[in-house]
Amino acid sequence: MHAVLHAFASPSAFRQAIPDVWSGFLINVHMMVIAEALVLVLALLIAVVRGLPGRGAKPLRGLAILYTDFFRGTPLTIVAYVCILGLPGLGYGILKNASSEALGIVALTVVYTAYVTEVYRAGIESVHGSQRMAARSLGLSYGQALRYVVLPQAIRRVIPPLLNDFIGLQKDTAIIGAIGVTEAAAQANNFANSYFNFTGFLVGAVFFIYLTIPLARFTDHLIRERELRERAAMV
Amino acid sequence: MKRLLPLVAVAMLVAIPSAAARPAAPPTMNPGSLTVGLNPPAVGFQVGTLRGNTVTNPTGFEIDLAKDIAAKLGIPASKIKWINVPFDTLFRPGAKPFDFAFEEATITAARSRVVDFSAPYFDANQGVLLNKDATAPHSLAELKGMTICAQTATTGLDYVQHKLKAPHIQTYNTTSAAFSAVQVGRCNAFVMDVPIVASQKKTKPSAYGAVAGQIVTNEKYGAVLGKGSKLTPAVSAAIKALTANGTIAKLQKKWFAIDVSKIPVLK
Amino acid sequence: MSADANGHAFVSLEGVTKRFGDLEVLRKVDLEVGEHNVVCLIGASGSGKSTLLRCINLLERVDEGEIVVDGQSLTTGKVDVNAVRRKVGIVFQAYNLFPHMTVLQNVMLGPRKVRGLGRGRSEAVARELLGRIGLESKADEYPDRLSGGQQQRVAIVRALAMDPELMLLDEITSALDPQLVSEVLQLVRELSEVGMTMIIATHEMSFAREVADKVCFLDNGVICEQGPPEEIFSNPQEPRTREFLARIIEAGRL
Repeated sequence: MHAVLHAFASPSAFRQAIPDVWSGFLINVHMMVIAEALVLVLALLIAVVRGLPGRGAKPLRGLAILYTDFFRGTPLTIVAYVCILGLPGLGYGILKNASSEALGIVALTVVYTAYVTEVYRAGIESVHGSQRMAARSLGLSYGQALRYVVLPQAIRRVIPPLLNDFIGLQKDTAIIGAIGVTEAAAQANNFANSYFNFTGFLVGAVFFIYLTIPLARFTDHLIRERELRERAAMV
Repeated sequence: MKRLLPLVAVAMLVAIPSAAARPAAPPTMNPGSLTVGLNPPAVGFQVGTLRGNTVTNPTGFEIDLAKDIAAKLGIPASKIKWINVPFDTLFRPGAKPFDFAFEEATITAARSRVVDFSAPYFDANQGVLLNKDATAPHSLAELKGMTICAQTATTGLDYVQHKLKAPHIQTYNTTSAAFSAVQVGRCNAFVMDVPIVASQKKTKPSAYGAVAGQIVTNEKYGAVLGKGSKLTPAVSAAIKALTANGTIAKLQKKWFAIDVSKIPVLK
Repeated sequence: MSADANGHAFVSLEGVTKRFGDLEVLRKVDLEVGEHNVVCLIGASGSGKSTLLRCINLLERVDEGEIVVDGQSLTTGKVDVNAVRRKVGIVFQAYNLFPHMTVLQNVMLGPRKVRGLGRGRSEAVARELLGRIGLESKADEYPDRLSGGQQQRVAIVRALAMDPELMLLDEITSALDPQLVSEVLQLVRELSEVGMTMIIATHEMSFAREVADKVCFLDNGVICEQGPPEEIFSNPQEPRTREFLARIIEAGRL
């Protein structure tokens, strides 16, 4: 038991691992912030395309469905390997010169956009049809009704699942560590292989938890607030 | 009674030497068979097909060597089980899922504290494999300024990280990923054992640049066993015998037609 | 009474038929509404009153027939749906206020984004309308803080903020508590007094009797009988009309 504690939670190893794991963690944070911003916007775009009415939009809707099905079904690790080791081999200058971190962000964005698109879509569909009906009846166009009436309500409703997906994204940045980006998990792994002690992983875990817990509590708070408001309205 | 004693004495005199002459079964995980850990592919050393955890149809220098060692232990080649053991799990403390593992593992003092090594069976330095478009470094100082790939948990990574202290290092969890990385240009140089990079370059000459140089680290490969394994003395003895009678030199010639002396030494 | 001086009605429906799948909800409906007139549609639920109203503001498309509003056809040629809806206001049974906007923002949205008035003018228009219904103090509240009657009156002025030429009211008091109904009916009464052209689907028979220029009884998608309220309510001709009214009187609603 003492040996296990020493191997995974040794105080001296903890202190020793902090600088390298912290420098790696900054890379995780960098990746997650950029990926999350991109995902928020791109997923909303695709969710709107997914809901476009009319026969003319059918190919666009089809493309959107293809995209979300494909990238929700493909493991992030595979997408990451393809992005980081595959894309640069295609010969285009911009891909060849892109850093592995940037390509890792591409992989994270492409996969998580697929998930978040479905979250937005669920939100949009949960807004009662009568809202769109009332908006259109005022003379608002499809786009105006979407922008001023449907989307504001849809987005408010899906903030908790959105935040959940982002917590997932934050943790998944560690996957990029296997493919040439020396983020927190890779640093911890290096530490383990150099010093035969796994406490570096504990350091990494602590950093991630520090980041995730406030977000999780905030999500809980939002959910509770919404519940209270809905219950008051039912009175 | 008096006539029995001489009979018993004679019987014992006959029995004891013959008992000693019959060798005891080696203390393997499963008596009568041998479990060998591998981690293909490493051109020249080992290639094989992975089916789940098992390696089927393995061939290579380390395979032939393992079979020769098994023979010396009294286990036929048909009773050898070949399993895949990821490299970066080799040096974790704890029980091993194999009797011994051949994974071009360099013997180091730090590693020796957590695992047993057999007697050495191969000498190697680190080699530098370049990307096609990279400029060849002519010194360690020039190498230090390049973007370098290395594989997790290898002595190559340890060298560039702790001895060379290169500022731009990318680590990859598998050898294949690291080879892809240098091929595609994620990094300019891949630092890994010379025989491994030289063999790979020989197999796919147009995929990479030259093996630009070697770094003298005087590494020796040993088979990896669990700490305090009862097999270690037997395996080491077998390797020493195979070295002495020239078998290992013959196997090296068979599997590696590379003249390492031609590769310039970086200083 | 229905037609204007030139003999054209402000709203005219001719042979309007609407099907949902196999079900015929409206069958060859003919209706004329003169400018500044109020027409009340009465009939059982499912008789097609809502569908009829929704065809007039193009929330539904008719399968056969012609609809003309203020000289513009809604059924032939290229129709600018949003332009039609600017002229034709509709209020629903479920008020459908936008919950994420304040009362003021609800009323301002149309003038600002559809009529293109600036922020200041839209706000002025909205506040004036809210003042007229005595709800200016609620301007910055969210709809869920208002009573049902207040919400419905806000829904009405939200439609009025578009300065429509025709108002369609689809059973706007059916979801309200009885004591809140009269404040809404009062607002409708005032609208009729200032000459708003209206088509009102309603269960409030006394109100219909009081405010309508013409009452139409819908039965199974057909206008069974139509005429001035005194005729319909006191002396219905058709047996089905009489049956319907008899049941209403029995229920104490007339």
